[in-house]
Amino acid sequence: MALELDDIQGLVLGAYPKLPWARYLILRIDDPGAARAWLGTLAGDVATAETSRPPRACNVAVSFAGLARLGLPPDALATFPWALRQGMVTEYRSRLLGDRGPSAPQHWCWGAPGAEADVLLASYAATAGELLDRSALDGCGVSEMATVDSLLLPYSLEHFGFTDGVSQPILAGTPRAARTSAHRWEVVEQGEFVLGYPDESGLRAEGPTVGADRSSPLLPTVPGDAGRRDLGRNGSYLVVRQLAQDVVGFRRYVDGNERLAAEMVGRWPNGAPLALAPDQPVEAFSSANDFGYEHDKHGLRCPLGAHIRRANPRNSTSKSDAKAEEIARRSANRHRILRRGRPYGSTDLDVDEERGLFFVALNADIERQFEFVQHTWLNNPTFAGLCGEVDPLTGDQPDGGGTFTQPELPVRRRHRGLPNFVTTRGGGYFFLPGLRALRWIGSL
Amino acid sequence: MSSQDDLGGEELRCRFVVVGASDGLSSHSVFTVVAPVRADAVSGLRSVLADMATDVAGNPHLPFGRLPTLHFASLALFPAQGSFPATLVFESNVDGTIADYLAQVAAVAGAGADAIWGGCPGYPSGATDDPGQVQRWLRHHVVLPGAYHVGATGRTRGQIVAEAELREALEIELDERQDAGRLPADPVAIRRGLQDRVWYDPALAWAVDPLPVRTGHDQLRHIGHVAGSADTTVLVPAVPALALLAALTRRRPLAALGLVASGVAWLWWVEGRDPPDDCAVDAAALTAIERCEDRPGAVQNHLASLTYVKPSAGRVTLVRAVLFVINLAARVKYTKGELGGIPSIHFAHWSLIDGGRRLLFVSNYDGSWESYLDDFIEKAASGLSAVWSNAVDFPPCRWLGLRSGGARHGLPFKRMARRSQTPTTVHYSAYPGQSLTNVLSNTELRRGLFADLDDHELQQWLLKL
Repeated sequence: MALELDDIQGLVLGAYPKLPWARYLILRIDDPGAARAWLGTLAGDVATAETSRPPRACNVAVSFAGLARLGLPPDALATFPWALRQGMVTEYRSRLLGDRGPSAPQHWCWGAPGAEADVLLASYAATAGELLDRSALDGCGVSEMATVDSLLLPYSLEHFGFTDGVSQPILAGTPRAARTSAHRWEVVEQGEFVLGYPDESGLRAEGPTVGADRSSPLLPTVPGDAGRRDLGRNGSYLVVRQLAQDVVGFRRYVDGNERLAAEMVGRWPNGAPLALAPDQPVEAFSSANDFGYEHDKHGLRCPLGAHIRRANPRNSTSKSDAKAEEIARRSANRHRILRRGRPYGSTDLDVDEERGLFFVALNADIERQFEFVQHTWLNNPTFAGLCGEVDPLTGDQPDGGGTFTQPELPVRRRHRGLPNFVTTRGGGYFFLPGLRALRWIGSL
Repeated sequence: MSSQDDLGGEELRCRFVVVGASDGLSSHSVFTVVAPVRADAVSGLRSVLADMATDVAGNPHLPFGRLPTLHFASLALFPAQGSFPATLVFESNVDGTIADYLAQVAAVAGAGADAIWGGCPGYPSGATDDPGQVQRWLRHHVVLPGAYHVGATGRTRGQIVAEAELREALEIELDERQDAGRLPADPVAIRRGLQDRVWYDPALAWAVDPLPVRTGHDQLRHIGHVAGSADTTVLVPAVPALALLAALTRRRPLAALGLVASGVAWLWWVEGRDPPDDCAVDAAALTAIERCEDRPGAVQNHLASLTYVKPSAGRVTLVRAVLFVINLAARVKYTKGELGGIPSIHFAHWSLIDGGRRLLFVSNYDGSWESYLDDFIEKAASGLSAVWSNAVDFPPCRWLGLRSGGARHGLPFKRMARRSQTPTTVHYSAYPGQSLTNVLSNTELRRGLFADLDDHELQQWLLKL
């Protein structure tokens, strides 16, 4: 199905790689009336997926608390998914996401319980001066809770020194998908990320709706339900987490052992996956994403617990037959996310400031996609037959330090005493509306 | 009846049998005790259960940690539903017989049994003094599952716990040798070092004895035994019905064909009439369920679900038949851990209660609810739809959802599952840190420790560490 590009926010189809500067404004709604009017006008400025390389871009998402504050009718609010309605900081979700100890929401700099964000405004530009200035929000009915500025690092690196974002699902039906049709792993159905389109199981991705009587003809009708209008179509759900990285701690732990660092990640710093380049960082594989683990059942090339093998197990299965691998792959593709995060903070370690990843992910079902990756793969102590160890890079390590198993011949080596290298500092779940839906919200 | 002293002896004997000389052919009893609860007793029972949940293994009402043959147990209270009163489901998955286990429950619970079941009609008042009376009452309320699955077949609780301890000891030994730089490069020498660790440790020496290999005859005996531990009511009408059909096919083939065709037409007609009754899940109920899930320190979770069977005699017969088939498959085909491609279920059972009017499902599984349900949807949608398409509220499908629809409708199916659930307030696991995959791999580790292995087998064995 062709995507309605003019109704989809640009962030869904791309991460604006030509715009190295970004500013994330986390906002609270003080005056719903003024905020609605502002959002309505903003709809004219929001970058859509139609323009592939805009000179600057702005995208906007609203949390459930924000939607309620803006005055969405209760019948519409009730159709939003449970994870969005609950938000990221309930006791249950904190357990699922591993937000405890120093990552517990009460320590967050924004999004803590009782201080959840209402609106996320993301501005992208070629130079710092072109970023949206907070003074532009005067009189818009919103106030700033937090602002995070970001400048892309050279070679798409993240702060630990590894190329980030190599593995990204490509939406089926887009020109990029046509170009990469030979690649088995990357092409994923539209409905996994854009509401209202068919997903990996062939069903229309379910989005929020509103009673036809309450909405304007701006919104499309819901297929098979004349009484409802589709509020979700061309929208998506946005997961935001401010993840502080302890670069000094990470370097101290790996202590110059580049091989150990690469095995914890599953790729060499240049991006080459260990599954293809187990011995050295072969440049030709630096952006390789067309690979599986069918020849690496025991993790002798890429450890079973390596970050990229947990975050996307591809065709990993304990069985060695093609049918089982195909089932594993199909299953893995129902749990993908589009990552749109960017690094923040200085790379100069002498500068004493927080640095990390402003993690932004898109998905159509927060529970089945983002939370599943976080809980069933990254933080699962029994992932792939392991026992008592979580993701070595991002995992919520047990008190007293975690374990990372490096499979080797003749026998494995266990690295113990792993500290937390990543601490959650803020976060929230947001609805990234389509342009028509945004205009409708503005018209309420 | 067992006094406390007898029970101590029992515990010792069990430890010996299951660890020292396990025949590897242990049979499990998988069952629930289902009892209605008087309306005036519900809130009192709720606080007893909440109290137990704070210390499941050692709580004063029923300290599950003192039941030596127990793998998993749960207590879940379903609220009153239509004409049905509130229902307390006590689920147990144990080694050995139901009678032996319930005798232990009665002895260990003592007065606690009154607190738990005192609000159930017919419970013998003041039963505290006579555990025999409690045991008889519990036995009277036993429900055998129509179909059940055991992940770690043939393993006693003691074996599972001991093999996990064995792995831990071997891993630590290996770590220490590596840290001290005295790990030999030769695989044979590495294993010899690990064998020494076990040989000289009286607590681990049981692992020296080889694990018996199951023979075809044992397998048959096993199937024969476990077939008797499921609800086989379905056979009562099914056997004569099939015999009749067979006879009819010989004498009046057209009539037999007509009979089968009318059965098929009936299914087509009733499935077409199923209303799509999908609706949102109640927020408060969902929050209460989530509170009981993903508890710190446990890799396992529990699901307790109760649904109405669609009200017709045909549906009840159909669900009995489907359960019979699933049970047969679970006994014969799915005996190595997986159930229909799902590798994370320790114990699961389906039971028809209230004369077939309601369908109870309980499961002890690894990982989160979301991942469990996704396994259902991605790997076992046919089997699940075949069962639950006979239940009210299930996403619509044709032909029992064997080929399409039903559980494949992910979100409506998940909502239906959540609506049918009640919080599992009390959940006990004898090995909370072990996934089913861990349990199976620990046995393999033990099996190879002292076995005769060639070079290739030895290398494969070392990779299990």
